[in-house]
Amino acid sequence: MSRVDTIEKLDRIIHERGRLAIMSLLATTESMSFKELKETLGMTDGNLSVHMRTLEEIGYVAVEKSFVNRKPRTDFSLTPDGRQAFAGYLETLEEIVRESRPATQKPEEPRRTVGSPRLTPGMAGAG
Amino acid sequence: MAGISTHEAEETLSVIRTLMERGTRYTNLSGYAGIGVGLVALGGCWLRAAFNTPFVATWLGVLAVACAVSVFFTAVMAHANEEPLWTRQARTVVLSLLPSLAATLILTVVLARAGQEALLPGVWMLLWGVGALAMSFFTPLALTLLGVSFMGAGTLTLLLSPTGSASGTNALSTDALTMGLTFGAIHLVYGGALMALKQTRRSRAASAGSAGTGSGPGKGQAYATDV
Repeated sequence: MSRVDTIEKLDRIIHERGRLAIMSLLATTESMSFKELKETLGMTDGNLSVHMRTLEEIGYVAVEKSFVNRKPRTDFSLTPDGRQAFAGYLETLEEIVRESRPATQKPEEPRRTVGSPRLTPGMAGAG
Repeated sequence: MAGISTHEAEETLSVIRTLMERGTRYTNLSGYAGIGVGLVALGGCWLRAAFNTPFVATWLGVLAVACAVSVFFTAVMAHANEEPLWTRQARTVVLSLLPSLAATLILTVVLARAGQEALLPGVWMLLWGVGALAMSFFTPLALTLLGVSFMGAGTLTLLLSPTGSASGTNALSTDALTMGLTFGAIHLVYGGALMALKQTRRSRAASAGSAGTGSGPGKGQAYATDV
């Protein structure tokens, strides 16, 4: 496959910076609240809402609304399609990096700390 | 779509890794809890110095009250953030503390029965440092510094500790002083630093928001300030 073909495989929805950050966070948890996502990513309410709507409409994110202490709470989680798409996106990025390296150079193993997930498509697909 | 260079791909992978690590961290560390625990420890020192209360019973009481204070302020913080108290991250943090807590209780019983109470402050400091470091793998940096401080203080205290019971006047003043300087003062500094860092973080977020940069960080920038 040519480099152009590989790049064309990148999911345009996920590739946007804000949505990529959201997908990365949601890939590590069962679900996250709107407030938690907002504080972790430093986004404004409006910006986060727009991205979440886009991800929900394409079916990558599921939304669950509830009440905690009589206040509304919105939780987001990745759908199976979302996890698969994120795994595919990671795989494509790694492919781009691999293709640019000489055949003799081994790809660098991503640094891993205790308690942090492995940065592999398999991780992104884990429930 | 626009192309992506190898450098950009590597950088994107790096940002994703950072974000995925952040998603696994417990962030409800409360500065008030740190200060509360420090004050409770100082209260224990005062009880020991003023009324010569039983050594082990006093400090086990302090531990129980400190745990309650810590849970209370953490619950207040979780409530203020409209988050549940018992999250997946919270469970991970508590579970990582349990081995060192169990070791502390076992060693307390063993050393107290052997009449080696004077060694207990150093042992408690060392094991609380170990526990804090274990938890720090799932929390922001502040807890790492707390763990290292306690491990250092514990090592020093154990090296300088006399052996024997802690019932004498000298032993009494020594344990009140060392416990006050460590479990009291270090927690007060830790709590104060945590509050100051969170305030700074809030101010930065507010100024970033007012500058209209809500779409996240620029290329290569961190997505949030780490504590």
